[in-house]
Amino acid sequence: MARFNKKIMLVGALTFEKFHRKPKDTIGGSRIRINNMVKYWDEAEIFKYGRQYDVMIYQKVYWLDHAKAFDGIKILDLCDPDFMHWGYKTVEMISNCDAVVTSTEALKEAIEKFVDKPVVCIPDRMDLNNYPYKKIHTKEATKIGWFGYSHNFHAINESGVLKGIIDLKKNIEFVIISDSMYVPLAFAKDKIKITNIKWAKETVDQDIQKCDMIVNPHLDTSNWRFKSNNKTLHSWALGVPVADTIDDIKRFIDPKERTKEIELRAGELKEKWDIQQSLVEYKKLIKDLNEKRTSKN
Amino acid sequence: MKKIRIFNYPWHLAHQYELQKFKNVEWSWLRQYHRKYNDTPRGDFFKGEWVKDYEPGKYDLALLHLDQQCLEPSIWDRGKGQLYRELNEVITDIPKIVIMHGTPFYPERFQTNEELIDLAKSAIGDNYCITNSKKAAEQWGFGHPIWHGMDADEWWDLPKEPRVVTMIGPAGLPFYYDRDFLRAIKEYLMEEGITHCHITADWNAKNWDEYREFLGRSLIYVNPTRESPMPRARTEAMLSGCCVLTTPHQDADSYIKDGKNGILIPRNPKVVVDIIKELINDYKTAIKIGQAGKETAKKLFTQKRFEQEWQDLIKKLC
Repeated sequence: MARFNKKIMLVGALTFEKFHRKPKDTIGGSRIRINNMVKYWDEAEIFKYGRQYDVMIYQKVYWLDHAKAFDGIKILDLCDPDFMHWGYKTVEMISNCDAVVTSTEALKEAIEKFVDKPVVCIPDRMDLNNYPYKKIHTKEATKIGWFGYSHNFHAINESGVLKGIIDLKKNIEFVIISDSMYVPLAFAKDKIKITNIKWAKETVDQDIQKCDMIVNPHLDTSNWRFKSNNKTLHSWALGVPVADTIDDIKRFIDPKERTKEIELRAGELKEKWDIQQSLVEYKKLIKDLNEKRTSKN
Repeated sequence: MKKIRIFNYPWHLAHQYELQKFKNVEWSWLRQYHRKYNDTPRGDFFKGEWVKDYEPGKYDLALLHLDQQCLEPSIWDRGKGQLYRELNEVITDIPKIVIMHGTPFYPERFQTNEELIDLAKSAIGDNYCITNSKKAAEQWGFGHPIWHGMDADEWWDLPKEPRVVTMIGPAGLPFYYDRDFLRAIKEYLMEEGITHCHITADWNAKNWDEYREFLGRSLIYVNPTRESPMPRARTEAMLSGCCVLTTPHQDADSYIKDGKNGILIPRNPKVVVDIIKELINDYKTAIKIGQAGKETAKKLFTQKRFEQEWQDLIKKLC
């Protein structure tokens, strides 16, 4: 039996990466949302077989059998609109949980439309202790980077960012850090140097810091509206500014502008995007859910 | 007699089907996402309780499962080895029996058997260990062998089609199961116009009844394995009256008397194919050998002996 009403409740967090047998910290959602947070949470740990928990967090994990059997507090943590794919049992899983946590407000609004459980947005935030070194900007920009899963390459092509960089005529190298090779559209052939770097958790930060700025183009189509800003936050934390528009790119060619941007964003990171805030919000949610259960009993 | 409460989790369902027949045992099965329970191998035999975690004080004994694959670093970290690793860490208040389902032979991943043996020793620690064959215990350098046991009545000896079959998994552990040898036998048989059936690859049973029916109507069963410790399917074939051709490894040569209750085969596919051709042409001899093999299996691989060996062990530990 779960031990409600007690002061210390043991939280087991089963991540997508653990459930799907991926190496630790190789799935962004699991690393950012759970692994980084659990480090600072004495009463929580990554799920371990056999252990008796009072609270379960299923991070993008649809383990219905377990959720049905587990009588403690259950939270489904989502960072993607899984419900848009027929293969996911989102409603059924949520019906066996006490609450849903989402990474964005857009995802929260979408889910609220079809479930009657509390849905709370706890955005992706960064473990700021993971970033001991910030890039120092001294020279005019020569390298612009993009990083992420290859299934998002279409954002580079559709956003026009590549054409924008070529049109600057600044002899800029475009660096892609991804799980697969990016091949640019025909118009860009021989007009820009493209460097593909294989994404690896051990090297990705240094690879990003070798770039002078990062582009993170967003689309209005498809499921893009549900995406979080975690790539932007990660770049900022590494001391690399993120250009959202061609005007930003032009501005960030100047090292002084980049330095200014990074100083500004460092403050924003501490104020709004520190993982410690997620920890507080998660604990509050669990406390509220516990009180709700206690008052019912 | 006092009921023993055992904590367990789905692993080798055919083996666990036999364990669940034990008297005076209450079973609890852990829900987990690595090894699934389904009713294909033995029907829906599940008895007991599904649990979501380990509750100290509730059980008398825990059964944990290992094989050589579990010890491969990535599988140990997040594959089926994780199940063993985490439960072994969490369960500290009761005796634990580790069933070592494999043998120290995994050349695809470990250059030497010694490396594998050292890893297994360290993983098992002070836990009590069972192996499935005497040879496996000798090879590991630890473990108490218990041969499997079955109810002979559950296997169907039916009029035999002159067909040749083998039942091993469809893929994986190629050296352990000696899949090259099986493939060569199949190919040479094909040249002779005989189509061999690799159950699970060429044909799949929808349920246990269909499997028993197919096996029970098969004249010749070929076991090509090199290091699999006492494959159950070979015993199932014996109890079904099939004429069994088997490699001599992992204790088989201790109870198969060549040409009497089965045939011991060398690792030479041409020789095996010649034997098969002879047996198909001499149907009566094949039946006779099959019947003698059935008698052997009925004596050696009984559920009663299997349970007794386990009960003795349980008594010793609990």
